[in-house]
Amino acid sequence: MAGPESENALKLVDVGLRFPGAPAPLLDGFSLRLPRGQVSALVGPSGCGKSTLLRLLAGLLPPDRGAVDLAGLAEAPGARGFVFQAPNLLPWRTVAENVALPLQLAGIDDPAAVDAALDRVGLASARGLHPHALSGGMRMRVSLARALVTRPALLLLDEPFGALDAITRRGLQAAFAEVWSRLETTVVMVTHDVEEAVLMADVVVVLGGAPLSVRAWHAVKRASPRGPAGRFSSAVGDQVRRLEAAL
Amino acid sequence: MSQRLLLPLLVLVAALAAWSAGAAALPPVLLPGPMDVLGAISADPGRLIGAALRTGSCALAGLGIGALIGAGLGVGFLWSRSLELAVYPYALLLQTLPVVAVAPLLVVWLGYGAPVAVAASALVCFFPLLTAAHVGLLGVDPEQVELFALYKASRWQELRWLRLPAAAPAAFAGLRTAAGLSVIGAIVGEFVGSNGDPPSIGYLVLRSARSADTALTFAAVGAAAALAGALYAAVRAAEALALRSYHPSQRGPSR
Repeated sequence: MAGPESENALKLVDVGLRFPGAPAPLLDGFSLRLPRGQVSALVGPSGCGKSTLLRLLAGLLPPDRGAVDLAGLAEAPGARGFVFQAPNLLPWRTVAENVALPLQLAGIDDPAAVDAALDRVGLASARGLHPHALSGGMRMRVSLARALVTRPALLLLDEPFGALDAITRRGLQAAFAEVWSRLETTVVMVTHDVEEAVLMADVVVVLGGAPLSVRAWHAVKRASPRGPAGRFSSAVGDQVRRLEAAL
Repeated sequence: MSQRLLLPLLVLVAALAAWSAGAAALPPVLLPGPMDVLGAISADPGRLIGAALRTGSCALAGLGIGALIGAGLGVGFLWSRSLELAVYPYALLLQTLPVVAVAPLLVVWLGYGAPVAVAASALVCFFPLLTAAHVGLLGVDPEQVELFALYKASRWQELRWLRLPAAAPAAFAGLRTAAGLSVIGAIVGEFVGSNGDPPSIGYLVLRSARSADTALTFAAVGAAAALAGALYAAVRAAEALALRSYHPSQRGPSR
C-alpha cells in the first residue's frame, strides 16, 4: 500500500468501484494512505478518477467493496467540508446565508461562526451580497468559507482553482494556503496541475491508469511556506519535473 | 413621446377608426361601434364588474387548486419514481381531454354554480403547472444535491432549501401560462354551469349574444380579456418580487 505506515492515517483499503454501465471497473483493489493533519494533493490526468476518490472520502459515494477508513476523523455531519470544482453557491441566498447553510442543516444558529468563516477568507464586507455580484475568485472564497464554517476535521477540495484565470488562481492559492496554515484540518485536494500540487501540499500522490493506481507517492520538501510564492525555487522545479515524469 | 408608447397608440387609434367605420356600415347587432360598447358598459357597470369579480375569483381558485395539485404531484414524482411511472400517463391523458367536452359532466357531478367554473379552470391549469413543477424540481444542479447530501440533509430540508427555490423560475413560467388558461377554463365552465344568479362573464356573453345585445357581448369579452391580463400582470409582479434579488431574468444584463 502506498503511504506512511501509521495508525493515524486516512486509508482506502482494497477498494473496488464500477459505475453502472461502465465496461471496466474504475477502481479494482485500490489502496492508499494519506497523512492526518497535513495537506495531500491527488494529481492525475483528466477523467482518471481523482474526483471519485474524493467523493469516496466524502462519503458521497459508497465503494462496491473494500473500506474507506477516516481514522475516526470525520464521522459526524459537518466533520467533512467539501469545496466543489464550481463554487456551487445557492444564487437566491446572500453570501452569509450561503455560508450558514451547513449550520442551518444541522439545526444550529451561530452567526458568530459565519462571521468568523467569512473573516477567515477576507469577505466579511461581502456578507449581504448575492453570488452574482461577486467575481469568480470571491465565489470560490465563499465556497471555502462555507466548507470551513462547521470546523471540519477533514477538508476535501475538487480542483478548486481549475476554472480561474492565472492571476486570480495565484491570489486564491495564497489565500487558501494562508487559511490552511492556521487550521489543524486534514486537507485532501484534487488537481491536474503538478506544480500546484507541489506548491500547495505536503504530500503529492500521482495517479493514473485504468483501473486507477498510484504512480508515485511523494513527501514534498520545501524551504518556504506553502503557496504560490515558492514557484520560482529550484527545489520546487526539480520535484515538479520528477513527478511529471511519473504522470 | 417615446416610440414605445407612440407606436402602439397609433395602432390603437387606427383600429378604433377602422372599427367605427365598419360599425357605421353594418347594423349594430352584427358590429356595434365603440360608443355602443361604452353605452352597454355604463348602462349597468355594477353588473359587469360583479360578473368579472365572480369569474375572476373562480379563475383564481382554479389556478390555486391546479397549482396545489400540480406542485403536490411534482413533489410526489420527485420522491417516488414508481408514482411518476404510475400516474404521469394519466395526467397526460387528462390534458388531452377538451375541457368543453368535460364541462357538462362537471355539471352532472357538481350541479350549477361556481364549483363547475372552478373545476374547469383547475382542469386546464393543472397540466402546465405539473410540468413546470416537475421540470423545476428535477432540474437542480447535481453538485448542489451532493452538497446537501454531504451535510446529511433530510429530504424536507433538501426540498425547502434547495429544490423549491431552484424550481421557482420554472414555476412562475408555468403560472404565467396557466393564468391566461384559468380564465378560459372558468368561462367554459360558466357557459354550461352558470344559471346567471349571480351573473358571471360566461353567462353574460352567452345571454347577450342570444338576445342580440352584441354591444354587451363585446363589453363582456373585453372584461374577460382584462381579467386574464390582470391575472398575468399579478403573476409577473409576484415573480419580479420573488426573483428580483438574484435571477438573471429580473436583473437585466449580467456583469
